[in-house]
Order: sequence, then structure tokens, then C-alpha cells
Amino acid sequence: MKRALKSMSVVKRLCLVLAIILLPNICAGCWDRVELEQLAYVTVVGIDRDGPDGVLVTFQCVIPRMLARGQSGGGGGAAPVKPYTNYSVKARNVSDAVRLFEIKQPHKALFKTSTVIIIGEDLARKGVIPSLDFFTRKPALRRSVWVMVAEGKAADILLKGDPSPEIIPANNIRTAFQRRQDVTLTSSVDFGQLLSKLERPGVDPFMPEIKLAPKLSGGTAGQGETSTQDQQKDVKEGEKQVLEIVDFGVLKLGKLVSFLDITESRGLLWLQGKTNSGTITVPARGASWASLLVSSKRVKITPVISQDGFLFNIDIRIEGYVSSVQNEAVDPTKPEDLGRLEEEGEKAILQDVMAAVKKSQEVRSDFLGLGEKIYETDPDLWKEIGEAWRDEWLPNVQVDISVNCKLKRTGLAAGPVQPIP
Amino acid sequence: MSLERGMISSRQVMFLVTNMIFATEIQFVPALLTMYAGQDAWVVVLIVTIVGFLFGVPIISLGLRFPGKTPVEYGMDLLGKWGGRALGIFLGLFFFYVAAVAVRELADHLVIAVMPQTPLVVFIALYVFAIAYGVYLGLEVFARVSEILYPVFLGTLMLGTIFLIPSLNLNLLKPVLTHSPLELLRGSLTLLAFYGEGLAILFLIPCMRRPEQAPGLNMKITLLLNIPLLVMVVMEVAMFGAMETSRILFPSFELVKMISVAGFFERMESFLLAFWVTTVCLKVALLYYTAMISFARSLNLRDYRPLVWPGAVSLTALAVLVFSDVTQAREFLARSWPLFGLSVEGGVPILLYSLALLRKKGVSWRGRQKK
Repeated sequence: MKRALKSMSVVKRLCLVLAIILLPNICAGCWDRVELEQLAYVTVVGIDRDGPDGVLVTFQCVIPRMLARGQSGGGGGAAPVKPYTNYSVKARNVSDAVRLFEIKQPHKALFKTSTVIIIGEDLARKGVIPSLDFFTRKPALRRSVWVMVAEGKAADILLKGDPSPEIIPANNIRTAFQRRQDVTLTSSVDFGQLLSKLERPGVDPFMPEIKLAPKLSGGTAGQGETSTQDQQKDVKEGEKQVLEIVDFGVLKLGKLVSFLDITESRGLLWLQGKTNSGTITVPARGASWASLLVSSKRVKITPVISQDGFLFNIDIRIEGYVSSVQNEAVDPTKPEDLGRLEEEGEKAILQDVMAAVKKSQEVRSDFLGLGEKIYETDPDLWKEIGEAWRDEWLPNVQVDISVNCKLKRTGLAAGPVQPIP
Repeated sequence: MSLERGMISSRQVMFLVTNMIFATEIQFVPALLTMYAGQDAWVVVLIVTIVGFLFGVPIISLGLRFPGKTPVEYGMDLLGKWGGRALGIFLGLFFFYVAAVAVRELADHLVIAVMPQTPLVVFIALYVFAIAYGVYLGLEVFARVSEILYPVFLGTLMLGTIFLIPSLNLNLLKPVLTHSPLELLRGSLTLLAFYGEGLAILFLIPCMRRPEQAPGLNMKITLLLNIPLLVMVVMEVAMFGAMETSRILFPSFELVKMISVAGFFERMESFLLAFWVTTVCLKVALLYYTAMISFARSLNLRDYRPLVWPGAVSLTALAVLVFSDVTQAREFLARSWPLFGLSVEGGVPILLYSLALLRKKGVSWRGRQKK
């Protein structure tokens, strides 16, 4: 080998050097090269129903140039620049829409930056699967992209939604989900989870609901509002609306059937075991309230299958601490008072869960995944009842819920503040 | 007289063979296994761990019966001169075909998942060029490369999957063992057909510096292969669900795409892809090398090198033509490959081994040790 190297002629060495210089050029690729300036960075895709079999797809794209300007001139008196634009396209399906979108504006759609897919209510009621198929095939899109269902039209949310305090709506949604642990009102559902639930026996998926809510500062006349109200004088009252992510929409066999209310949504979250310090406010002694900050520790659903039907033992274990008592009559340092607060907490959670179960039976959608438990424990039985599960069996199942709430701490203070006469 | 003057160590053989099987197995097998066995796919992996270990025993002992000889040479001893040559040509064509399929699969993956605009033939041609160059330089060269790269690849893959543990839903693995033995068997056959590519070890044993280390290799290779595969299959089912896993073309790729730690440690799939390109390259190098050795032996050439460049051109052409579309490729892997692959991978060693026993040719490994 050494001899070979020594005898390598100058020409051969030159060839080698040339090859080393030329090869990296191949690495860059010629066909799939991407020019940053020629891309449309899609952050949110909204899909609505349009006519009997068409879709209205709204692409929200960031304009990087404006992004920099919006940040530097944010606090000033100048009119705020929107660093994003919306393109709405009517088409036969999503893939068709992407093509029309690329005709409408010169750039190539880039889905790598997409955070959320929002599906309009009408389309969701018709079925989510046909329009999601495109995203399962698109190489650049990952399964961790979030999916949501809009109350009303997805296009409205994208066009009218005010992203404040962020400057891009997608970031607003991202922030909302990242602090979801603190509110116990919603949780993110990603595309992969949605698909695996759609294709799993005995469970229906749910999606967080997004809607437009009237701007808080517009309605209430609190102090500290003056400066912002001056700025927004030219904007009509009630027109600018904030994005609100709360509650869930539930599907049945790939079609949206209902939206949950706050109680039912929380019941669903308790059962998912996904809450991580949510506040529940329970009646304390007298007319006052006490607030508990709790998180679910363990959820266990065991089906009991008998001749008469199905019984589900739901065992929820909750842990938390007292965040506010408001009344000197309730003293968290006393074991009996703490015990009473725990009981009240258990009762409140039980009501939430009961509401969710009722709703599930009412709309005949198994978003709690009760059927899945039967499928897991007795797959043979599931083969027989699976077809009729949602419509015949689910409305009649019995549920036995036991909640165990353990309050471990009382915050920084022990007893309540007590005025001394 | 031997065609290959290079000598390799037992560790290099282990990594070469493991790498060869693992490179394509990890891309396709989880989808195929869940297609047959649903969430019980991991059971199939366990079955194949045992069967595969046993499968390796006769192959290695066959290789050891004829020290320093390739299957084509002892095929000539056993089947006669022309029979051995026919066997050599047949084995060469088989490995050549498998090499073409492997190149095509990787190129397809690159086109589908990463660079949709680039023509397929560009990937295949560049790829085969690199492989042919490696094969031209000899066995020692790509054996060393795989010794370095494969542990890095495996380590990175396993390390990366640790980050996925929080987002797994192990309930998706339930209910356990609902699939009939027939479905499990079909899944096992598919996996075993990939596993059987390890037949190429017959061509490596004559080049081993210490052939006495060969008997433990089937155990090591089986474990090195199946533990990571088991981890990946369990993770994919727990991440996507059995139905979804069988529908996705490249589940492992999708799995790695899901890695996201604290919102910034993301997009690990580029690493996976880079490793795939290298490991499949080594896989095809070994298959191609084996095919070239078989041809050269059968044609009684003194060196296999003159065959390498013309062969590369044919390999490129075959890889482009072997499937007309991705559906065909998937259909081939799911339906034809288990039967086709296993009949060759199982048939050839069984034929040679039983003939060796009947005609009392060669000396068994134990017999030689006693002397």
C-alpha cells in the first residue's frame, strides 16, 4: 500500500484533489435545492367545507421580512405591522389547494414550519379523514403537528384572530399548549395521536377546540387599559377578537359529533391522567369557596364484564395542595378541615367525570376509551360487540367512580388570616 | 489459491453480517410485522430470535467443514465441477438481485421522504459507484468501515429512542397474544427471510483470521440484531398503534421524526438518514462482493476485480428496473420475498450440508479439534 502511494503520479494526485473539490457540489443536490427566499412558510393550515364536496383551505404564512420590523417597532406609536398573511383557496381537496396556493403567490409552500392544522366545524362534522390523508403522505410534515377543531369556520379564526400578546397566531397556540399544565382546561392532541386513535378499536379521538372570544380589555373598563385603547380606537369594538383554546370537540368514527363544555372537558382530562396542577374551586364551610391545586397521579379503569352488561370501575388518585381558603372558619392546619376539603375536592372531580361519561353516552361517542378497555381485556368478546358498541352498549354501561384526593401541602402559609378583635 | 488475500477478524464478520441484515430490516420489517401480527409483532421478533439462532448453527458448521474454501469451491467438491459452477452462478445471481433490491429500496426512500424532485437513477448511480469502488478495494476495506460505523449507528439509534419513552402509550400493546399462530408464523417467515441474508457469512468464514471463533457468531449476531429490532417494534407500536405502523411506509423514520426534547432537540431524522445511507452502502458492498466472488469462482478467474466495474453498470440498471413503483416494492417484500428468499437461503445450505454428510466430505469442526 505504501509503495502505491509513493508511486502516485502528479496527474493522479491532481485528479484526487479535483474529485474532493467537486464531490461536495453533488451533496448540495440539484433537483431538490431550496432557496430560502422562494419559500412560503406555512404556520397554520385551516380547512373548511366549501359546497357539497369542496374544501376551503386557508394557509397562514409568516413573512420573515415583516417579522423583524414588527419586533423592532412593536412598542412605538406606529400602526402595528402584521408579520403574516392569509391565503384562502377553494379547491377539491387539500392537495389541490396547495397547488392553487402556489399559483396564487409565487413561493413554494413549506410545511416543515407548520404548527397546527385547524379543521372547521362543518368539515369536521362531515368527516376529518379525507382531508387529513394529504398530511399523512406529505414528507416534510411530522406527526407531532397539532390538530384542532374550530368552532365555526377555521378561515374566520385565521383571518380575524388577534395573536396578541404574540405577533404570530401559531406562536400564540404553541404558548397556550406549553402552559397547558397550569389551567386544566385543554390539552394538545397531535396528528399521530389522532390517527392512532382513529385506527384503534373502541376509542374515539377528541381534539382541542379553538374559537374566537371577545377581547377581554375591550369589554371591561379596568385601569391600565388607557394606552392600548388609544391605539385601537380605529378598530371597531368587538371586531378584533382573541384566540381562545378551551374545551374539546369529540369525534365518532372520524366525524365530529359534539363539543364538550368546561365540566365535561375537565372530566375527560381527569380520566386521561393529563392534568398537572389544575385549580378546582370547591365550596368550603358557609358561603365561601376554597381553591385546591391538584394534579392527577394515577388513573385506572377496570372493566367488569357480567351477564347483565358492563361495569367500569374508575379509580382516580389525585394529589395537590390548598391554594386559597378565603374564610377563617376553615383551617387547613386542622386534620378534620383538611379532610373535608379533600372530600369536597373528590366530589367536584367526581361530578366532572360523571358529566364526561354522561356526555359520552349521550352522543354515543367513546372518547373516554371505555370500549378500548374491553378490547384489551377480552378481545374475543370485542369481536362480537365491537360493531354495535357505540350505539347499543355504550349508553347502558354502568360506571363506578372512586376518587381519592390527597392534599399534601397548604402553600406557604399554615392557617388562614384571622383578624383579632 | 484464494481470490481474496485480505484477512478479517471475527468481530468484523459479526458487524458486517449484522449490519447487512439490520440495514434494510429496520426500514421495512416493523411495517410488515404489524401487517400480519398487529400489536403482537414483538412476539414474532422473539420467535425469530430463537429460530434465527438455530438457523445459524448449520450454516456456520457448514462453513467450518471446509476451511479456506468458499461455498462455490466446496460446491464443486460436492456437486461435481459443473454442478458447483451452476450453484456458484445461481448464488451470485441471488446476491446480485438482493443487492439491487437493497439499492432500490434506499433510493426509493430518499426520493419519497427526502428529495422528491431528484431522479431515482441519480441516487442509484452515485450510490453504486461508491459501492463498486469499495468492493474494488477489497473485503478488508469495507469490513473495517462497518466495524467503525455500525456500533456508532446502533448507539445513536438506541440513544435517540430514549427520548421517546415519555411519549409512548404502552396500552397500545394490549391485548396481548390475540393473533393466531398462523399469523405469527407468516410474520416470522417475513422476518426470517431478511435474517437469511446472513447466508453471505459462508463467503466470509474462509477469510477469517481465526476461524475457530466462528461458532459463537450466530448467537452474537442474533442478539445484536434482535434486541434493537425488538426495541424499535415495541416503540413504534406504542407510538403509532399497530394499524398505523403497518400503514406507514418507513415507520422507523417516522418514529425518529417524533423525537422532540424541550422544543429544540428535534429533527433527528437527518442523522438516521445519514446512517442509513452508509449502512445500506456497506450492506450492498458485502452482497455485491459476495456475488462477484461467486461469479469469479464459477468462471475460474484468478481475480474478481475485472468483474467489478461491468457488474456495477448492470447493478445500476437492475436496481432501476427491478420495481416499477413503490407499491410493487412493498408487495414484493410482503409476499414474494419470504418464499423466494427463504427457499434459497434455506435450500442451499441444507442441500450442501446434507450432501457433505452423505458423501462424507470435509471434516466437522469438532472432529478437527480432537486431532
